[in-house]
Amino acid sequence: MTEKTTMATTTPEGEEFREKVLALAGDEVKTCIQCGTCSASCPTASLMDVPIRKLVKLVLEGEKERALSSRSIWLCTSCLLCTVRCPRSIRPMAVVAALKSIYEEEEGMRCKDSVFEGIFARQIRDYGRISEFLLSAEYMIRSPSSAAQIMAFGAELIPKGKIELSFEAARGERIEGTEEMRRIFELLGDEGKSKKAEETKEATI
Amino acid sequence: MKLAYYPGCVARSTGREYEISTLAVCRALGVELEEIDDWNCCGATHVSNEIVSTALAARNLVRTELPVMASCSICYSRLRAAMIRLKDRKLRERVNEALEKKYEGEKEVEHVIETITGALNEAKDPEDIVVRPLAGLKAAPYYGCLLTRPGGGIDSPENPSILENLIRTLGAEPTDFRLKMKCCCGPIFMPEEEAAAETLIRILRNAKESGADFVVALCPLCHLMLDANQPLLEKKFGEKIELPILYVTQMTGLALGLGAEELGLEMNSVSTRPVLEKLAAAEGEEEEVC
Repeated sequence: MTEKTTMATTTPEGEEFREKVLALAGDEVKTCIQCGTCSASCPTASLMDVPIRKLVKLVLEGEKERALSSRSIWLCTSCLLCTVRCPRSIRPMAVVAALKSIYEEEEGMRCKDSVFEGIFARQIRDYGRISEFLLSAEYMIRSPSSAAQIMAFGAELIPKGKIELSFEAARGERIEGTEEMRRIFELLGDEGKSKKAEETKEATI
Repeated sequence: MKLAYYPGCVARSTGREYEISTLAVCRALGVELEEIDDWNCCGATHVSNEIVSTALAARNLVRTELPVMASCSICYSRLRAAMIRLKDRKLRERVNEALEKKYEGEKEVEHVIETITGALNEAKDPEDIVVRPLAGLKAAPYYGCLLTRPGGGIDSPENPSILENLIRTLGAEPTDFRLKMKCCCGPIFMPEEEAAAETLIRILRNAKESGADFVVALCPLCHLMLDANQPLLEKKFGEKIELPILYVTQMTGLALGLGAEELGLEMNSVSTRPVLEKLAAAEGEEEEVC
């Protein structure tokens, strides 16, 4: 065991980060005993640079940068097995969700996964529902390396009549309550996040 | 029985055959469905802010007085998680700040497998309903994650049996499918295709090794990953799988005597014909014996 076990948070920023995650994911995160049941249960653990167990530790130590820069937070599939099994009734998945949420608010932090989440959230906010055509089209524009995969999938789904191939059809799904949707995101979400979603919108269209 | 129906976005695109077969099966079982007016996306696994995600679900739940039925496991899990969280008065008040119609009282949420199982259990003689038992067919019960997790709901989050029981009730045989609870990785598929592919091929190989004629899916994302994606996986890994993936409602519909067209069976990517042929052959044999 070469890892430090100290819980001391060194910087005020680290302390603020730790408190923010605890507020989002639950105070019980502090009771983590580092048993590793979450990592052992995680379906994508083998692909992660930082195991979930260690991610929790980084949070408690206020290691903001190391936690947020980990690829692991984007490899979580939200399958909840960690949460089913945690002997301390912590919700490790909620810790990951909190990290994603904080990452998305941070200035200058962006990766293909956060771009995808941004497009997804903004479509809900603006239309009320997800159009897979618009979602794929926007993501393909913002992340061109995904084009081959999306096209191959499209070739499978379009002949089956499962994807509407027109903006009119896709937009036809817009619900009546879009004002309410906007209010949900603006009143309950983070303002910085919706501002960032706005930027994404401008950059896309 | 009357339920409010929450289709979810996928029902109108990649999961059309799930909606078609859900509506057909509910009609056949005498379950009346009333679609929730002006429903919105549940946020799936992509809205990381829990309060926003709870409010998205709450807006759907307040639009009806009836118990809500969803066929997508992700939608179901979001609606159910919100329903549980909203018991907290403080959170409820916060969420209500953004809602036009306020969330009050208790709501009920169920998954279509509960609706089907419930209707079959209530029937005096299930044999009157299961008019075309799926004799001779072996089905791999694929649960995926969100139907049973984080627990306290339908069935055990570690080793459930509701789907195996349904398969037996319908006259088929469930296979011993070791990876039945393994996550399909669908939620990260779009940005992290490579990561998902490795897991998916393992799930498909394991289902095939279990001797299944088809896999039963309960979630349109699992279905998309195993069905529409199957030809791409076959190409990527250079092997033939050719394993039909039926929605739970398609499987049920067949046993209720509904036709392939009524169940959208031609909309599946991997041909479902081998299942229909095997079923017809088994019935032919039975007639000969009689």
